[in-house]
Amino acid sequence: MSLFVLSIGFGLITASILAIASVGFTLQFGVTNILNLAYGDVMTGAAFIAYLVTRAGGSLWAALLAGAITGSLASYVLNRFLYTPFVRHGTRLFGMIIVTISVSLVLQNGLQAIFGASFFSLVLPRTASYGFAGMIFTGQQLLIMGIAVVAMAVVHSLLSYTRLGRAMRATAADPELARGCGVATDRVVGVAWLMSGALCGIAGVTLVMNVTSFSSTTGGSFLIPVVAAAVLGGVGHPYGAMIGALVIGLASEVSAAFVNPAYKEVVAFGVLVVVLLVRPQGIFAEIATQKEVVA
Amino acid sequence: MPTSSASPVRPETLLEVRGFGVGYGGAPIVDDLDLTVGNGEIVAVIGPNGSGKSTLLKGLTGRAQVVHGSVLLAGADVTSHREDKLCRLGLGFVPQHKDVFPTLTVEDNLKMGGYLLARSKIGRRVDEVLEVFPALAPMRQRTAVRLSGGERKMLAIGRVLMLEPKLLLLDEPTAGLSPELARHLLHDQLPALVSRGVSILLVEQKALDALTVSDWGYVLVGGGVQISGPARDLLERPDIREVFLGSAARPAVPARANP
Ligand SMILES: Nc1ncnc2c1ncn2[C@@H]1O[C@H](COP(=O)(O)OP(=O)(O)O)[C@@H](O)[C@H]1O
Ligand SMILES: [Mg+2]
Repeated sequence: MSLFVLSIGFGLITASILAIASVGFTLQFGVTNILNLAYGDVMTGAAFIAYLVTRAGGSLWAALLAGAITGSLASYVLNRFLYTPFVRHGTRLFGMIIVTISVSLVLQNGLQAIFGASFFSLVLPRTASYGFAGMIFTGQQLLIMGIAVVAMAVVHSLLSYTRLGRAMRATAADPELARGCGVATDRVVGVAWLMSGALCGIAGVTLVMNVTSFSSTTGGSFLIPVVAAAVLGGVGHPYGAMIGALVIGLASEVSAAFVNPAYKEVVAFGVLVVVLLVRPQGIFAEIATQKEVVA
Repeated sequence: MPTSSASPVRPETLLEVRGFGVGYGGAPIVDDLDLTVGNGEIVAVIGPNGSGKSTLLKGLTGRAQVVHGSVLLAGADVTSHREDKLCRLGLGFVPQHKDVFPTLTVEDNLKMGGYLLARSKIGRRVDEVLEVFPALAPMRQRTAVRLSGGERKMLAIGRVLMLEPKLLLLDEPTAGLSPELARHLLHDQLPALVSRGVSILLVEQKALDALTVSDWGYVLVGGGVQISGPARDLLERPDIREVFLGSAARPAVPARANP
């Protein structure tokens, strides 16, 4: 029983990181219809920048900020100067997936070439541990959950209550119609990549805050549960991704405690397969409309 | 020397299209087309299926590639402008399909149409637009997917009216409507819009109905203007009646007995 409670604690932490990551991932797809499989490697890039900041004596906050900026700019540049030109030349959904896989390989190998094929850890001060109802968290893990809650609240407020949020939702629903309402969709898409990229960067830093060491492939292997959470929630739906993250995070950590940690990803996929069998459109998608990539 | 029917003088030009060519990357679909819409006019573009009517409107709204020619809106060059710019200049486009946000309510669709308005003005403008289409007023909170075809088209036009356009481009607004609803839209609502200061470029397959409510007409065949003139004159020409009644009567695929 206590192992179960303990593993729920781990699940909540994993779910927090997953939520930040999969909301960013799903926003990219929702607004531009590009399934960016290089997302995990941008996370790794942000983690390495955060690592450099902490090694140079910077605080954890400075590392998080640097990671967010790295993710944001890298994602914006990727979309603006690589993905968008491909889309303008007529590459569609499936072709774009191949393009993003290529970017993933280039990023992963580039990071390995720069930093080497070894393992790294953020240079962070030790923090005390806190117990809650049988679960134990370090100060940093509490921080991760706090960041996730704040990030989700910010995304929710932005989408629901701001003009930019309305423009983003309209662009995601129908870019041509949004343009007909006066939305400068190009600019909205740019902002969406900056924003989702910041989430990607923060997710990368929180991911490596929570592991003893990371390498150039860490973000790439985390992509599987990220995609699982996003698909589970109905790709393109931020609230669905939040719920999907909770489900995948809890399921994989609880099962890891009782079965074998090596099966975490199998469990993530297992949950995904079962949900897709029952509800192919994901948990949240109201409409499974065929959309084209936004140029 | 008297002429039988003096050609009516057209009002001041609002939209002027010259030497227009539009395509999708290959050979132009619309080629070398001239067209004008005057202030306060309803101008019909009629033509058989596939003659390039929608392509013309897509070229005017930056949705298809303009290969040559120019578009002037109230004297300003708007060739190849995209819709987010055009709607600031007083042009509103109601496409044939995907003309509303299906998951949003009537009210939210209208609010989205007023995206460019100051927040404090949106509510009042929604009320004004609902006065133009009173049938929609009791359905404010209904999701657009749950509207009938006629209600949906009114919502689509209402969404565009939010920004008080000077020129409305309508792509087959009566497609999929019952004959009574189509008549109501063309014969009652379009003239009502004109009386509110809107000019209309109306693309229609229901050629005779469209010409009946229009001031001027263009007959598009194979991507070019075959005939143009006062709508009243076009209606009287036997060849036009024959082309449209004939093409409507002739089945697209030769009839075959079912085994
Ligand atoms: N997106 C497109 N890409 C390529 N060709 C198209 C596209 N849309 C329409 N066409 C072609 O353009 C021609 C005119 O179509 P359209 O403008 O839709 O005619 P209409 O609206 O008069 O029925 C047709 O031959 C059609 O096949
Ligand atoms: Mg058409």
